[in-house]
Formats: sequence, C-alpha cells, structure tokens
Amino acid sequence: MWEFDTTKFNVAGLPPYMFFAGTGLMVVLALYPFLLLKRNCKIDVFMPRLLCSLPAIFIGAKLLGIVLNILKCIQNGESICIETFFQSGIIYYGGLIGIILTFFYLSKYKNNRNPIEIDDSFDSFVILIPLFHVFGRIGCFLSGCCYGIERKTYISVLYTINSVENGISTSWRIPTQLLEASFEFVVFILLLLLFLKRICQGKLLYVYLLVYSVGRFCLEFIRGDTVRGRFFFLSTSQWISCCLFIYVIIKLVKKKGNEENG
Amino acid sequence: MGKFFKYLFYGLFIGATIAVALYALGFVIEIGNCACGILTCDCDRGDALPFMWSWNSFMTCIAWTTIGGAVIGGIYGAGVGIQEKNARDAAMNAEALEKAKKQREHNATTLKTEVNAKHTTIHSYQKEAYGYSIPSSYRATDLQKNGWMKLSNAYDSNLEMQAIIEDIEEDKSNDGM
Repeated sequence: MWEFDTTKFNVAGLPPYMFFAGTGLMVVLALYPFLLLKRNCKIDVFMPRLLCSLPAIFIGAKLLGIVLNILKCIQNGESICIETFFQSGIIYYGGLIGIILTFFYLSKYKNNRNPIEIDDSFDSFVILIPLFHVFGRIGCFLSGCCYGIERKTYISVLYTINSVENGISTSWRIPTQLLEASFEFVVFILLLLLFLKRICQGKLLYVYLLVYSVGRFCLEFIRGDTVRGRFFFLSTSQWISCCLFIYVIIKLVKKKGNEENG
Repeated sequence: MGKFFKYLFYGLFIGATIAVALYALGFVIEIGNCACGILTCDCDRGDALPFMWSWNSFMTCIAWTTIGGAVIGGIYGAGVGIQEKNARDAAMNAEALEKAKKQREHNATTLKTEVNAKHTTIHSYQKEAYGYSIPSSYRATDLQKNGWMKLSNAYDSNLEMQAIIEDIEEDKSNDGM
C-alpha cells in the first residue's frame, strides 16, 4: 500500500495525462511501420492514413463526452447551457469508435488495394489500440481521473485527487487506472501473438472489442468517478460495452454464415 | 539512408510544428474558457489548462514532440527505404527470370531444329533399310507417341547413328524439346 498526491504532480511542467498520451502516441506511431513491414503492407500508403485518422480520437472522445453531458442534464432535469459543452470530459469509447470508423473508411473505401493487404494493415492498427491505452491509463492515474472506489485493500492507494464532485480529497482507493493499464497490456501481448502467428487474420478488431468490452464491463464496477453518469444501474461505459459485445457477436455470426455459404 | 535522413528531418520539423499548434489550440481553449466565464458571470474561474502556461512546460513539450517526431520520421523513412529496396530487388529478379525464360525458349527452338535435322537423317537411313519413310509431317513428339523407331541392325555399329539415337532418347526424356 502506498500513497500518491495527484494535485501537485506534473512531468517537467506538463500535465501527466498530456505527457503520457503523447508518449503513447509516439510509441504506437513508431511501432506501426514495423508491423506493416512484417506483413509486407505499403508503409507509405497506410501510415499517412493512420496519421490522418488521429484527430478522430479527440473529436470522437469529445463528442461522446458532450452527448453524455447532455443526457445527464436531461436525466437530472438541468438546463443545457454553454457549460454543458465546455465542461464535458473526453470518453475513451468515443475516441476508439472515432478512430476505428475513420481508419476503416480511409482504408477500405479510399483505395483499390487488395483486400488481404487492407486486412493486414487493419490488424496492425488494432494492435496499437491497447498499447496506446496502457499509456493513457497511466496518465489517468497520475492526473487523478478515472479513479476507483474508496476501499482499503492490498492494492489500494492513499490517493489525493481534485475531483469535480468532491474537490480535493484524500482516501484509500482502488487504482482502477493501473488495473486497466495492466489488462490492456495483456490484451496487447495477446493481439501481438495472434498477429505474429497469423491467427484470426482480418478479425483482430473483433477479438479486441470482445475482450476489451468484457474487461471494461467488469472494471466499471470498481470505478469511483460517478461524474460520467449512470443509467439504469449501469454506467455509460458498461452500456457501450454491452452494445459493442452484442454488435461483434452478431457480426461474427453473420461472417461465419457467409463463409459457410461460400 | 537517404530516405531515413529525409524523413527524420521532416519528422523533426512536424514535431516542432505540432508543439506550437498544441499551444495555439490551448490558447483557443483558454479564450473559450474565458468567454464561458464571462457569459456565466464566473470571472474567478481558473485556467482551463493548468500547468500549461509556463516556459518550462512549453520547452518540455517542444523537446518531446521534436524528438518523438524525429524518431517516428526516421523509422518511417527507414521502413519506406527497405520496402523500396525490396521492390527494386523483386523487379530485378523478375527481369532476370524473364531473361532466363527467353534464353530457355531460344535454346529449345535451336534444339528442336537439331532434332528435326536428325529426324531427316533417320528418314534417310530408314528408307535405305526398309524401303519406306515416315511421313515428313512427323515430328519428334509424333515419334514418341508411336513408339521407338525400329532401325536395322546393320546400323547398330554406326557411330553417327548411335549418337543420334542417344540424342533423341535424351530429347524424348525432355518431352521432345
């Protein structure tokens, strides 16, 4: 058990989340050419497409934050004002959906390359998602957001945060951010092994979404930040996890049906 | 190496530009935050991006994005260079294979001419031995189909004939080429 004060922490003058998200982005962008090279995909075709898709992370994450803030205002009977837009946070699932859709669009419809090369480039891209998230969650922990519930356990941290709900507070909390970072790292290793052994070729996105949505659904039960809103006993992220899980299962069943029918 | 350094410098430049762009974006966010404060009569609200407006943080940001940009650019350039080299090697291999194929075809044509010439010689021997000749439209492949030619024992000791038979056996094993 240990303690950590997020209110005064910064990395050489930079907010920790910004620093770690930036570092994560650099690491994944440096790794992507190696993965493309491994599958013999054209680096000068797919790397610029990934770079063009990057703004979709921020736009998607912010848009989902705004939508959830509006929903929360409606749920609480509050009026929607300019602060509803400005004070909305960024949501990981929004960024994830944003970049997947953008990269998917740029890869599938903006070229006439062979489908195997597109699948390979998409698989290489999917591996990067959990790796980036590992850095993001470490940044969350050091910034004092996305924290866990108050409980004194063997892994708890005496955590000082400046939250929107309670202001500055110190309490024993479960470090859900580090748990999620560890989980994402395991997912990254799993995807990398599948990629290198050419298992589930062209289906790594489905593997990631299935594994992550289940993991995230479970982790949400020990999340302590209620600012993101809850609808019918489940948090927003749990609802999104359920929808994604069901969507992927339907998609996989349809794909299998198509394969069996030739 | 040329590509590596070219893209390394591109990355360096883009990295530095991103740092400046981030601060410009931060400035826009701060203006938005300020406008929001004025509209909601909350003039005491703090910075939207605390930590950001210090020289130390700006220098860290610019150093970090420049180094990151250079590393990514370098790796990208090296990767593109490797793929271009592989493509060049593949093109050269394909060219060499095409050249070898053409050479083989040329050799086969020469060989076929030789076989036909030997065929004609056999005709003359056969005509002499049996008083008939295989129709002139017959080629090595036709001879293969119809079984090996029966030649008179009188020519077994003929060295030239033996050499021709050996050649034709060899051609036969090479599908008549």
